[in-house]
Amino acid sequence: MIVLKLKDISKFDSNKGERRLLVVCNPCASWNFSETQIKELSEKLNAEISRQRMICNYEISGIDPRAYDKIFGLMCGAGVQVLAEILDREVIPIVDTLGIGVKKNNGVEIYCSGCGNCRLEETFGMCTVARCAKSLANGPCGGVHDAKCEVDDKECVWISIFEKAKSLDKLAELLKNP
Amino acid sequence: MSKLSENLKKKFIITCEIVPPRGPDLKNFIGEIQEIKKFKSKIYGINVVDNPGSMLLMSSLAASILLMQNGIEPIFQLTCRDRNVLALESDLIAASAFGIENVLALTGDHPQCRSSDHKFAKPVFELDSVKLIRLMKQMNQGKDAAGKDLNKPTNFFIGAALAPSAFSKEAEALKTKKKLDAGVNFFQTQVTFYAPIVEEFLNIYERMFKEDIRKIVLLGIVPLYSYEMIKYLLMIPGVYIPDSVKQRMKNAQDKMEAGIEIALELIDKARDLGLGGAHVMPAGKMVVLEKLLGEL
Repeated sequence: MIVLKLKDISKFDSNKGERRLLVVCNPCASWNFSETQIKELSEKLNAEISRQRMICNYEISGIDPRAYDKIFGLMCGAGVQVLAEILDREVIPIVDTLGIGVKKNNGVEIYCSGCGNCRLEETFGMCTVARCAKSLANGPCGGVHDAKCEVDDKECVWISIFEKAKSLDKLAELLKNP
Repeated sequence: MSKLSENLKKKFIITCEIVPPRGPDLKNFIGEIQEIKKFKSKIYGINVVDNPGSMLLMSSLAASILLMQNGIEPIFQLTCRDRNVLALESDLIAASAFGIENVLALTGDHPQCRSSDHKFAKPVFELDSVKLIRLMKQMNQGKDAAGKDLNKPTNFFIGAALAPSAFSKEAEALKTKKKLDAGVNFFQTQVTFYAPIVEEFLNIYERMFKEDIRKIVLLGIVPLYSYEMIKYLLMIPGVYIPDSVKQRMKNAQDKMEAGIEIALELIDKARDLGLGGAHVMPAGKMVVLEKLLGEL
């Protein structure tokens, strides 16, 4: 699913009687945030909630933009753009879009950055573009400590790739030029 | 031919390192260059670091050119962190045009690594060290990355880093092999305080690839001059300092003397292991380098 990271929304706290709407686009929003979290966000923004489904299909329903002074988007960057275009209004994103991720070890990790050059079959099914801080193509760098990346403390994907290749007795494949 | 390329595999090579200034005042840097000139006959190249640890310094290319103009052969360190392929090629052409031959091809430390003073900087990493080595090899054959002709081939003597104490020695051996296949001429290791780690790595490499690379490996050495340095060095991933070294530094009356003694012992061990030489990184203290070279 598309990974969304909440921005600092404290600057939107006071609304001076503004009429506000928080547009929530599912399924991505509810994959990233629980119902309770979404409710808390709407309360913090003092905004009504409008739930939409896959705005990326260029379809929305039941929003009258004239009824609101400010419209916030809990959705990916593409969703915000489509919503702004359809409503012909400024939409304020309250999240940053990080990439395509998975739920793992009680957290979320980016597994795909949509680079447009997929070569997962060469790296034993693990993406070095999204999962290596330097997107290295030829093996681990010197910044590995205890099999983890020095930048984000996540497992070094190149160590995992190496171990996988070794277990399959296919290390020679890693000597090929990407 | 560079002095380094002429003498590697023939003599025990000593290279060392200089750090470009952190600002446009060149006074101290030129002073250090003058110091290095005094022991020029003992060294075969001076590495010029490229924003190490993502900490800002003057361009390593400009500093390398300054060294060339002062009659000292630099080992121009070039990282893929701050340059896309066009910028790398452009800097390499400039280096070659000014007579620089030795280039150390590095991926580079991430702007968000622990030591960085530019955590907000955008990391490029379009190429990595292996791809950069391949690019230089191609430029030595007169072609750019797009396969078009340069007006003259470059003449790079290509170096790369080696981390014998890497978390996975086998993975490091594999990457080392890739660097060799890409066209590397010499390796400089990460700072080492314990020679058996290097020996273990070389044995693993030899077992995996049936190839002896000892004569093109220069052992990375930092002569300690204070006990506090140990704490700083241990923050670098993969650096191992044995308790015996820590104790010697702790107990020593004259820390610099003890550090030089340890460094000289490591140089002896590099010779015993049949390595091509040693790469001495004086961590900004030229006086340490001067004293150490005086002992060789």
